[in-house]
Amino acid sequence: MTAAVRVASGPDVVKGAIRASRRRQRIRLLTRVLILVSFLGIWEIVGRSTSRLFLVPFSESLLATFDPDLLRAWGTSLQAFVIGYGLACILGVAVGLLMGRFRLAEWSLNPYLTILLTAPMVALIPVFIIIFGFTLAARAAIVFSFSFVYVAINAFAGSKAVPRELVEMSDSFGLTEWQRFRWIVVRSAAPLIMTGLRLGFGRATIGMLLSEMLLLAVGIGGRLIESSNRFDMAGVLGIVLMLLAFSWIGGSAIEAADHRINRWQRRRR
Amino acid sequence: MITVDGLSKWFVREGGRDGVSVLHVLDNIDLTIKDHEFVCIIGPSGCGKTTMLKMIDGLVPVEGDAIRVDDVPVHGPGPDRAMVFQNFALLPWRDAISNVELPLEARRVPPAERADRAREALRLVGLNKFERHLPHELSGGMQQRVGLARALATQPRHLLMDEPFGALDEQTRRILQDDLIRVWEQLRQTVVFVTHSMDEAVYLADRVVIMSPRPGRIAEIVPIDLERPRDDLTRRSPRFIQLVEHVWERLRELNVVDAVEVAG
Repeated sequence: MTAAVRVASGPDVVKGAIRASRRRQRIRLLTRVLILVSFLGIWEIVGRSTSRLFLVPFSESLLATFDPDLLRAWGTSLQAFVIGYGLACILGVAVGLLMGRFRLAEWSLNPYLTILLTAPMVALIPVFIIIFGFTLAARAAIVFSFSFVYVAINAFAGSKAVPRELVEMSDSFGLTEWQRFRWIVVRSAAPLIMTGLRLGFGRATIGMLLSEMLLLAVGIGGRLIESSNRFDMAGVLGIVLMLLAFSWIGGSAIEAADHRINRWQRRRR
Repeated sequence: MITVDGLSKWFVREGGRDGVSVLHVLDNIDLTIKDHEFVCIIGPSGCGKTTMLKMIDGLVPVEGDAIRVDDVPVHGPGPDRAMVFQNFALLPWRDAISNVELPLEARRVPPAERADRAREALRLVGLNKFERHLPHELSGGMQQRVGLARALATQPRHLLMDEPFGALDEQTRRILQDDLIRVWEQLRQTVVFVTHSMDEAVYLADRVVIMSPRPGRIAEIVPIDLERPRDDLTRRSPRFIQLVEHVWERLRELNVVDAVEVAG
């Protein structure tokens, strides 16, 4: 955000405005850090002064994450995540753009995507287990089914967001279908595609955890259930911390890519 | 040469009482535009002037051979014509020079030649220092200069301009009019220029085509006998003012029905 600079009496006013803007930015950052620190502080204090069965302090939860077994569990989980979410990204974008390009694809697929968007995907978990057994394929399929629709529907919306005048321009200058698709449709759709990837990431994480917690008892979700059954509060909270970090890292990475690709759009604001 | 011969156009849309609604847009238009001529088309909103321009470009389908460009019936866009759009139609993620290069890229012009031609076109419109700017970093007038440069870079024989300065403020508009004339006097394409500004039409054109309200017919063709090169003195000359008044009179006559409707 930029400060509203009202140049009334020369550079001094401008300098003052810049300083004020920087100060506001510092205050914002400081407040954020303060909220985090006080939250962790309260957690620490309450944890130390209550029963270990109720709450374990932050420091102990953090220590519980230093466990090589947990790393292996993450490895198992991430295999399913990478395959499932990766396929959802590729196929979701492809299906969404295809629906944007072909009316027949739009008319035939759109109602189903809309249903799937609100359908409780959890109900599908047993189905996948029956089909694939207790395998990596089953978990990847669950991750995929949780995230695919979000990616596809946003890619579709994005490909519909091409301004009419650009389509007309591309016709006038004799661009081929394929040129228009590469140079105009994909670029216009990019901001919404990135939104879809972000929403899909969160959904894929849920899918990964649920598949492991509900039925398969492997990976990081399996460890979460295990720790909980042993009343190992530090273990549970440690995994929660790691999951938060995972979402945060993934989300930030997608956001950074979004800013990079769609620079032209961000700077307009 | 652009020949429009007995051109009529109906738009049929789904919806309405009988399942379809029919809009009669253009009615039996005859118009011949010579090479190197600058023709402005003016008329009330909805008279079909933009539709006619898009038909000449090939964006709107033409039945039969009612429109011929250099004796070839128009059935789609072609490299001999280039359009400048009212809302600029630039790709917001491409900088000025890449926007100008777009049609050349589509035609598979080699990169080096492409860049040269784009640079040359940007120089013609006075934007050589803004090659690397994204559209949103440019003012409206500069954006339309990019739009003009993009059309010029394709080296068209005929330049089709659809209310190109309609979205600009009066000061910018005048500067761009002068720059357009300057470029045109160097390159001498045929220009078909749609506008709703009477001053603009008279200032730019060799002939002003006045169209009637829908269905669009040609009401009158006014030859503009003002000397070239034209400048601010032209705008102040009695003949200029007389011609603008004449166009206004004709347009007002044509709009009589409209005025009565408003009064009633």
